[in-house]
Amino acid sequence: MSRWNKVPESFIILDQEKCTGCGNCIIICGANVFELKDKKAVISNLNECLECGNCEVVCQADAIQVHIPQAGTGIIYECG
Amino acid sequence: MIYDVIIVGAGSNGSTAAYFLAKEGFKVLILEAGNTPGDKCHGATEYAPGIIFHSRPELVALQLKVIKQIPHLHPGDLGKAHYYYYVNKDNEVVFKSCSVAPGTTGAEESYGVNNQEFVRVLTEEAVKAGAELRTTTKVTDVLRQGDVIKGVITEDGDEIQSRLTIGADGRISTVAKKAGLLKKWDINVCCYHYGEAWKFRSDEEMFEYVEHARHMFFGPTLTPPKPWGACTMGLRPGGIVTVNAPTSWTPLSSMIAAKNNSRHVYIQNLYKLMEVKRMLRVCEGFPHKPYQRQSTFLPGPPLEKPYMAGLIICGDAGAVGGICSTGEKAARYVTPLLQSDDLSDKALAGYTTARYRTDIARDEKSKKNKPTHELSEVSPTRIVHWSTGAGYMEKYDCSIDEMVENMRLAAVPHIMGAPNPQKCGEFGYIDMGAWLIAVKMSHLLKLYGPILQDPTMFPQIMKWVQKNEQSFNEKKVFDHPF
Repeated sequence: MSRWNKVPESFIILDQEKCTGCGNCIIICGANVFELKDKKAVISNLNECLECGNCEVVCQADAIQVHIPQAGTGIIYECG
Repeated sequence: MIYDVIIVGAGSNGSTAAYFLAKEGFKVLILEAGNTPGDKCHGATEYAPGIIFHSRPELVALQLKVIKQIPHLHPGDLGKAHYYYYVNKDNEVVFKSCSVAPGTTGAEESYGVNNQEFVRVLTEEAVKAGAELRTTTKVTDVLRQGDVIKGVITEDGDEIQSRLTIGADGRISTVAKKAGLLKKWDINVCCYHYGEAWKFRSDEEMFEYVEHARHMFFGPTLTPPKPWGACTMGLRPGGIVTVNAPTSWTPLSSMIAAKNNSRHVYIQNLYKLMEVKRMLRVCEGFPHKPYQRQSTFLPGPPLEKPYMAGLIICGDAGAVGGICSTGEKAARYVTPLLQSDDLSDKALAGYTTARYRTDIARDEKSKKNKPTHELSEVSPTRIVHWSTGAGYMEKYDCSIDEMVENMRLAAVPHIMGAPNPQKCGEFGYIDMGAWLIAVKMSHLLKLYGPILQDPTMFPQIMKWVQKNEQSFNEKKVFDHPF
């Protein structure tokens, strides 16, 4: 069973300065982690993150940095 | 002390590489961020298809050895049951293209195993073979000397030197990032894949819902911005139903172009389907409580190249999927290079293609079929380049019609239709021996057409095939045929 353990550090860093509000991260994210507020992306549902790293790859403005959470925290897959 | 090889990440590929390199007598160090290997498994499969997809006997032996040590096995060939539904814009199933000829499946030996257990035992095997394992050791950077990677730097600031570093640290690879190999993906090429899984409460219930279906995968033909698509439903070993939203194989550019028809809409639509409802009714936790969700890019993180002097990237980090297989291929590729102490950029460059191949030595001999031989080398009875028949026709010296008939009799279990087989090679799917790589849909239909469950669709499919056949090699996105 996959489960989510709380991640102490902020493992997705979103740079509001760089964000252009294009919304690519919102479209690609399978877990609804992002939200658009005042034409900028914000992280609203970090607990849902599936740690695929897609948001970083699709962010053409380089505003998103993803670091994999420490072992035992974040999403734990039984069946990868 | 300078290690021969440092492997970052004790996952399935890292541990496999460690096992084979340690067996060759190299001094191998595995660095794992977790407290135990498998703590943070992001592997892309819940059983061990490597057993069937990668025919190299040493790897099969290793995987079987590991699997037999894991409690609560779900042995069997349940991997063969796959459903494939085509859905129209009104959420009606247009047809089920799932049922392929009955017979043996490609999954002669597939097991439902717990990923964490699998990786843990696999790493134990690597340690038994002589590798050194350090857990709770997070690698934060690579050790550079000019353009050459000379080792890694850990979170504590330790510098550990090695002749070769293998980055097997998963989809968000620190090693690839720090080495400067990661780049932004071309959004016209990258595909997005989202899946959910439910677990049946019992085997009896599962069998009740298993029909004779297999998996037929037509590739990136059913994509947004058109408001319809196709989804796959699969039954995996261990009684896990997986449902992949129709966004599989959707180039990101089309998702962006079709904001209103994005993944969320498809997933919502998926739940409305009668077939999905029926299947999920007997699953644990239904409704709205999937056993597991996952989302991923196909074909994985974008790398400039999977190697540089003193470094190679394998596994999910290297954008080539396959449980254990790329680790094994990496180990096999670097063994002679380590022996001759040539770990230059040039020497490691061959790994880019070697990681796709089943047998490097055999490939060396058969260079005559350059454009397609990589595809056909894997298993001529399972993978065929349909426009040329390369592979099967060569091996059995038969005509394309005979090949089609033989395929039908042999009940090729999985089909993947690809507009461009070379692209498939890039994606690493040629590793999957049970998949047939198809280009000409007309051949496919000739083979499997009559078994498709809704024969009234054939004229429309054929028309669409004829219309698009020319452009299969050029276009990335196709209109829906209906």
